[in-house]
Amino acid sequence: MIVYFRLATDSFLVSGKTDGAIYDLGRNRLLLLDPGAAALLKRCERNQPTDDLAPGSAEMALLDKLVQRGVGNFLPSPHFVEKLQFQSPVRFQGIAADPPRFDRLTFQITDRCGLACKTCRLEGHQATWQPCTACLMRALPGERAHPSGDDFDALFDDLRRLEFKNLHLRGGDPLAEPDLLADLLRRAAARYPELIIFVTTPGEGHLPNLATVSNQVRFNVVLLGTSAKDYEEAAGCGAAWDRVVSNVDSLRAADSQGAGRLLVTILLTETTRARKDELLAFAKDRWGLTPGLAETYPYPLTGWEGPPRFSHVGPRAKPVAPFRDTWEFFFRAYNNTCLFGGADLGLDGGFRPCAWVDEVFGHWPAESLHKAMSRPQPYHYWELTKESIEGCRECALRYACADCTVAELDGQLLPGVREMYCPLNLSEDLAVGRVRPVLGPAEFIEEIVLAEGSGHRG
Amino acid sequence: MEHRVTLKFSVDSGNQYLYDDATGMTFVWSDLRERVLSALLDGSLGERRATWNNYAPADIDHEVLFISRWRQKYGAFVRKVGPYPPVPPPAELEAWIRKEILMQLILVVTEDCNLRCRYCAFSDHYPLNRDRTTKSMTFDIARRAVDYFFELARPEMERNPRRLFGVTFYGGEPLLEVDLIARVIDYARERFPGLVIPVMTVNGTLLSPEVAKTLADRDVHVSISLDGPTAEHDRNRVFPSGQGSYEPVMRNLRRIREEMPDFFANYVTSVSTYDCRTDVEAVSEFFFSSPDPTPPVLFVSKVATRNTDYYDAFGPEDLEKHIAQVRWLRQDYKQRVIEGDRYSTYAQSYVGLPIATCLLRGRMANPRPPFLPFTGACIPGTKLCVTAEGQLDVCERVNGSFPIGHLDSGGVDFGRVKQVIENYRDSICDKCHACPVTRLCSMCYSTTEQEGVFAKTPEDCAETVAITRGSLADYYSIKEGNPSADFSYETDRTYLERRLMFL
Repeated sequence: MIVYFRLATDSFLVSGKTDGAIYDLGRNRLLLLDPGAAALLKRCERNQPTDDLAPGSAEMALLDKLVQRGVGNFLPSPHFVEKLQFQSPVRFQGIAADPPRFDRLTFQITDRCGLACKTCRLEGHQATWQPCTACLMRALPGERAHPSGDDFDALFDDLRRLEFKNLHLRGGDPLAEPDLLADLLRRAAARYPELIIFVTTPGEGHLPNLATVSNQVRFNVVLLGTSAKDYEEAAGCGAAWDRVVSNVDSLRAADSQGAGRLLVTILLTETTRARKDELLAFAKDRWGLTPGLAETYPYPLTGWEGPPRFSHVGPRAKPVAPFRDTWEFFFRAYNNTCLFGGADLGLDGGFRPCAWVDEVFGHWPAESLHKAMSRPQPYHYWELTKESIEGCRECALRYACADCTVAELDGQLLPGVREMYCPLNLSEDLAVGRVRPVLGPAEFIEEIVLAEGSGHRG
Repeated sequence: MEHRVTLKFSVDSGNQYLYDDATGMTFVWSDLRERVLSALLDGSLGERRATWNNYAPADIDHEVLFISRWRQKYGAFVRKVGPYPPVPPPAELEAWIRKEILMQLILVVTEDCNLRCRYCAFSDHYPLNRDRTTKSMTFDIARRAVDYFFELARPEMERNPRRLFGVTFYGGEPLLEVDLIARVIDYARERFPGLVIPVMTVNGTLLSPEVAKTLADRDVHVSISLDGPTAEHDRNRVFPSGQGSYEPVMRNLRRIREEMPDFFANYVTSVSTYDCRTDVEAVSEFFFSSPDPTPPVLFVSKVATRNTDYYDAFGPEDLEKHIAQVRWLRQDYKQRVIEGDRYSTYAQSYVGLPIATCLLRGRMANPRPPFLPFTGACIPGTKLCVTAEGQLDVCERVNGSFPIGHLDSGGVDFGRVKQVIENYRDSICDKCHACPVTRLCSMCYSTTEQEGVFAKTPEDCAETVAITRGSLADYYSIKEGNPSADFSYETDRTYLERRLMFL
């Protein structure tokens, strides 16, 4: 007699505070479970028999449905169902440590900038989404580092030895230091020509002679609006608009082959938040580009009423990023998708996991990048999964979530901020099934409801 | 051409499972699932399913979907026969070894020993191994070995800032050369600060508190050869006079535990050797509850069985008794893990390690080098064993027949490394593509070395399959009994790291 139900090897039950989800890796799907369905599945996964469920009951109908979906099966006795793993469940350290997969170093080379944006340097008074693609700056405490040319050469040598793929130069505005920027690009071309270099800039300063800039360099220009009026309002400098457009036009002309050497990021602020589509269309029409998006939300630390929302997150709606394949699911489950592979070098010479994380794990140039990366701290952040993040660890959507994880880290430091990024209130919303996932294609998510009326209603 | 590479096994409850070597995964198995897989593989599904009257069509369809999905999405159940890429040219091999895999320097600081253990690999029982001699390594050779090793490892140090390197002192009895060892560690630490983890296995008779302090001051990880209580230990581990060594070892350990408790707790472990007459139950109990100081057991090793007449002294009754005792130990260990009870570190290593090996086996994304895709053999150069005279061997256990270089002749001869791999691959791996347990095979150069050749028998492979089947069954029996059974001790990183260092 068949009395047990178990999920398949490649179907993972991820528990939420009250609800749950089945991550079906065989078909790259997510089955959202209402609290009743989640409780039933948890029970089954603990090898408890199902023979107390009446034939034809809602519970049996649900389990039958899962069998039809191919995510589970009935078994005649308790079994141990090993879950799919792509790798041995051990990560060695010390003498057996694998080489880390270094991806990018972000390097703040200046705090100078010709603009005076209201949204910049608001450490502790702003929440950000995708800040690393924008030119937002933290005001770092302490002295500036004073590296020599040899120090820069040694840095590029370390990037080459460690096989970093990308270097992101940021500011302030790197174009506000044209001599320094030109020197850095020259040294990089000589010491590590395979390194891809992104220069993130508001685009207001002086472009280097593009004819002399090597193919390894890409410019990421951050737009604050589409008119002098926008720039006057955002940065107190309407005249900057013409220079920005002129610079981007030049970069576009130099990149006439469409080799991807020009990128545009739109920073949504109070000035432009409601005009996101207009900004996207402008960049598309003028330069033939599809820009990336970043967003900032200044707020007072005290006296604000309720959590403001980012433009990509609707009220009571969860932004969902489908995992494209099984690899991506495991990557999200074992690593911090935002911090993995990265490190930041601030203007103060501090090595940090990211520009927006406080912990410093090395001091340049007294200590080399290589030395800093021999310490355990950056890897701790690389492996800081959603299981480690308060709030996320009880959310069933944690491996299918598009939130910027760094912001969530900040959220733990600043009570209340997290709600700006994540619309869920786990203690209330999930209990009554009021959350509707968004930004996920319909074929990715299916809702599984145990009984009529108890499911997610949005 | 494809071969099915799966292994069926049953657990204590009678449930069936299937281990699939292509993906490294295991599946709940059933007669219907087996029929469907067989029929899909030989193309007879349409014809055969008409005869499966005992099964509902929906159940058959479900199994067809299951098998098809695993075959198509994950490449499960079958492995293609080669061709496998050739071993890279020496220069390419050198670049890869130096950048990716070099991890341990082994210095044979002496070939002498103050004991005459009856099963010693350098005794007359093992004619193919080197003999015990009075040769010792000079500081000059040790210094050159350290310099050469770290020069060899330079690309790896540059690429991998987290990599540390084991420096192992081997013998004979390494503590006969304790002054040399201290000098070598100091030298290596000064030249390569923060990179050296020194380790050694000793017989314990020379580990006085004074010597222990010399080692503790240098953070040396020490493993003591300890075969069990007095009768067990003294049966084989004896001085030239024939007197047992248990009491001198314990005298040292008692003092170290009392005078240097941190060193004893954090740096001292045991390795234990057994043969057919070992009273496994008594030894396990000894490591569990003896009032004597018994450091946790890292390894339990069987007295080597190849190229030896050591086992001629044992009869079938010894083997029978031993098998019964091991069976008891396995059941006792499984029961304790299921119920969350404590167990001895001896049982942990004897029974638990093969089970943990099943748990930690490689999966799809843990490929071996494509030119040596099978067995547990390392790439020579992963470890570098330097003899007292400066010869470079694959490891401390592969000696004599397959040297891979000499300090006096430019170090590692990567052309020779290529030859050793090719020789091994041609001799040992010709049928591995059809083997269902390649991800769990521990066969390597040391277990297949004979005079000038590598060789194995079908019985060797059959034994590997049988051991794997038993370990998988143990693991699944435990997990069925207690799905959250705690293997944390086995999977603890520090513990595993120590095992690797003493390999």
